[in-house]
Amino acid sequence: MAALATIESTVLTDASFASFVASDPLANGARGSSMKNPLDSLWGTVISGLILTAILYFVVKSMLG
Amino acid sequence: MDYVPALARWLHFMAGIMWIGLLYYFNFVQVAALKAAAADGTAAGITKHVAPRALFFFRWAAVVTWLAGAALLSNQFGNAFTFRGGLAAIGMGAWLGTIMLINVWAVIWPNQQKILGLKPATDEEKNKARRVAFLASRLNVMLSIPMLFFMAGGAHRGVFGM
Repeated sequence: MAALATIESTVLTDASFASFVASDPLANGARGSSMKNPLDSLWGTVISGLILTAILYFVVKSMLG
Repeated sequence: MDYVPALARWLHFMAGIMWIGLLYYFNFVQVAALKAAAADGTAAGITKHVAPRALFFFRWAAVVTWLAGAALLSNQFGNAFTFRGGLAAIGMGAWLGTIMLINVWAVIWPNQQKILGLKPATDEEKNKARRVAFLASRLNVMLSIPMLFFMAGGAHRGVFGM
C-alpha cells in the first residue's frame, strides 16, 4: 500500500508539473520556437560575421596594447 | 633566402582563394541552385558531377593554405598562435583559419561523404548529415569574415592604432 501511495503521489506530482509547464509559455519553449538560427540565412551569416569581427577587433586591440 | 617567404605567401594566397572561393560558391550559389534543381529533377547533375569535384579542391586547398601559412609564419609560428610579439592580429586570423580547417576535415567532409553516397548511410542519417554539413559550412562563412580581416590586418597594423 505504501508503494502504491508513493506511485500515486509521483503521478500526481508529474501531472502537476506537466500542467505547470504547459501553462508557462517560457518554460514550454514557446518563446524559443520563434527564434531562428542566424546561420540559416545568408544575411544572418554575414551580419554574424561582421559582429564577430567587431568583437574580436577590440580583443586584438587590447592585446596589442 | 627571401624566396621561401615570397613563395609561401604566393601559395598561401592562391590556395586560400581556391578554398574560400569554393566555400562562398557552396554557400552563395550551390545551396540555392540545389533547391531549384531538386524542384525540376536536375539535382543529380550537381550532386554527381559538380559537388564531388568542388569538394576535392575545397578540402585540399584548405590544407595547402594552412601549410603555406605556417611556412610563412616560420619561426614566428609560436608567437602568432600565442598572440605574442605584436602578432595578435595575424595570430587571431591563424586561429580562425585553423578552426575552419578542422571544421572542413572533421565535420563537413565526413558528412558530405554520407550525403553524396560515398559512405553508407540510412535516409535518416543522410538528413542529419545534410543539416550538420550545412551549418558547419555556414559557420565557416561566418568565421571567414573576421579571419580575412585579421589576415589583412596583420599587414596593416594602423587599424589597431599602432
